[in-house]
Amino acid sequence: MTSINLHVVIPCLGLEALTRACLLTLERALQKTPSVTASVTLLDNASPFVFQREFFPNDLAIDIARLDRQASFSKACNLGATRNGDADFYLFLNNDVLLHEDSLVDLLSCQRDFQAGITGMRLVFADSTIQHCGVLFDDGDRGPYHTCNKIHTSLVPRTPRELQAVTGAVFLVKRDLFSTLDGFSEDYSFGYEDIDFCLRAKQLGATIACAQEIDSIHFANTSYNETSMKRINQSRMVFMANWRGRFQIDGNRDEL
Amino acid sequence: MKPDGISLIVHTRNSSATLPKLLESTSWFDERIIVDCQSDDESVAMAEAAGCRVISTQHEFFTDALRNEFLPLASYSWTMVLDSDEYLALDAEDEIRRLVSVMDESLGGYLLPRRNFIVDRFMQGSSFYPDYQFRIFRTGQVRYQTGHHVMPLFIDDRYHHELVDFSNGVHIYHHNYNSLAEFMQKQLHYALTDVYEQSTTEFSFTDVIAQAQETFSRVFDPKSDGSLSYALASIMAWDKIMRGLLQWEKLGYQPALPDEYFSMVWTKKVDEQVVESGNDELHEQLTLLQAENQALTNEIAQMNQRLTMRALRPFHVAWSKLKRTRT
Repeated sequence: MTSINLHVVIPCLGLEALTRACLLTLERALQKTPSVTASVTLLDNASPFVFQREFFPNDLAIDIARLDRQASFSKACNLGATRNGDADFYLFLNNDVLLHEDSLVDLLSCQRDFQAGITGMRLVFADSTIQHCGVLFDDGDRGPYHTCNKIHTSLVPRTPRELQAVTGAVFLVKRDLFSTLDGFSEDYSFGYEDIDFCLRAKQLGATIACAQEIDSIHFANTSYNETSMKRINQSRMVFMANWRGRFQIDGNRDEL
Repeated sequence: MKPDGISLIVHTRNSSATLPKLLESTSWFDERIIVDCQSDDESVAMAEAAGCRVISTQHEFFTDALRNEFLPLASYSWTMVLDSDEYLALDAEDEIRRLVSVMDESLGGYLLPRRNFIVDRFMQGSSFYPDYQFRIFRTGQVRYQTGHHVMPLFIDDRYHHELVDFSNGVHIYHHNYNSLAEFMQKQLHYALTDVYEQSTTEFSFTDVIAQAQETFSRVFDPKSDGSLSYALASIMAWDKIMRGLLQWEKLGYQPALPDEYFSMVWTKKVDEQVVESGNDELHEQLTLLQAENQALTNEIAQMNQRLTMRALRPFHVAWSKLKRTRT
């Protein structure tokens, strides 16, 4: 089996306890992928309480990089990626995600099967309803949306599929593709930088796929505050200004 | 007139353990000068490999005073000074370049907040944070003083400095000590090599004890720093006493130490000792303090009562209404 050099970037703004849990699940998931050599950068995006190595009782070699002033989510991700320029893949991972121990096996297998430039992962809320199993695009003001959102995972098919976009919460991307596109656009303060990146990658002919076999937990907007929501709305306006009329309409497929 | 830009000057001595982090976080400076004080380790090789200009000098106890000799080497209009066990955040460049692009001609430099880590723990207590350090200044306008950690001064009085906002500004990161033993060793080194006032008339060991107590109270902040706060407060109070004794020794063991004060502090309660000492002045002060303390306690109790009454007022109103409805 070919060895893969994976660089995991976890941008963090607070949520120390969740981050610790996130890292523990990442460590377990990596143990199931012996072909992967992983490095981890925890990008502390000006958290009020400075992240320190002692918080994280993992055996993982964690590089903690700190920003003094809060940067956009995309800038934090881009800076995190620069910490290992030799990786084959970057895995951007939100710190409010708890990976299933088999999730990375599923993710890498989906990437391999589709020869995908970008691979996303099926994510569920804590109540086992779908948070993300792919991003679809509707017409009008709606634009991109998470398909099957809030539907119980047992009701949603588990066939891996190709899409126009996937969420950045767990985002596996080839390093070359990431470099060619100069990383995530820093025009977005929080949210939609992932969709923008996928659409730009699509323009270059990259394949985007989403692994569906395994559920990992993403607390998503349950861990957002009022400021996060404001920033998401700002990003949405930027996205629609940039992309409206330039993506393929999948239509309304909220229901099964 | 020096060209616009920022020179970084760092003094090293056997700094190979901490230097990589500093070198990595400062690669963006227009110029980096490493002044090495006879390191036996890899410090010089590391600095050279990172493209720094390396200058060797003799080892001096007073690094701060030694800095004056090398400040003129800075080629750019602004100078930043870091210690070899310090580093900057990933986004420091933008903020520091913004700071030095000021148009105010009388602004000579900045005090930067510093985050200190002891035993790998970020110390948040009042005496450790924000721990402002005067580290960025106009080249050629600042002079360091003799002694350890004495604030440097502007050569020209027309300059002033400003504080960088600690809530959202660039910081210096400082991993001070990996263990309490290392902390003690360093404190003792500073105490043994520092400069002390030579006048016997200025020396009072009672003041030294008071400083130690003041230091303990200032550093002791278990809410912020947990148990480590007890340990550090004790070491730093002890440091004050060590320094007092060292100064006393340099003064030829004069004046005599107030032995009754030692017995008072270490063996019995203060109030008992004051009464026993027969010192009327001290006794009067103690009585006044106790009265003030009692008055404050009463005031706090009354305030608490008023606040409680205010908080319960809506319930009283509701209860009165309920009673009226029932009758």
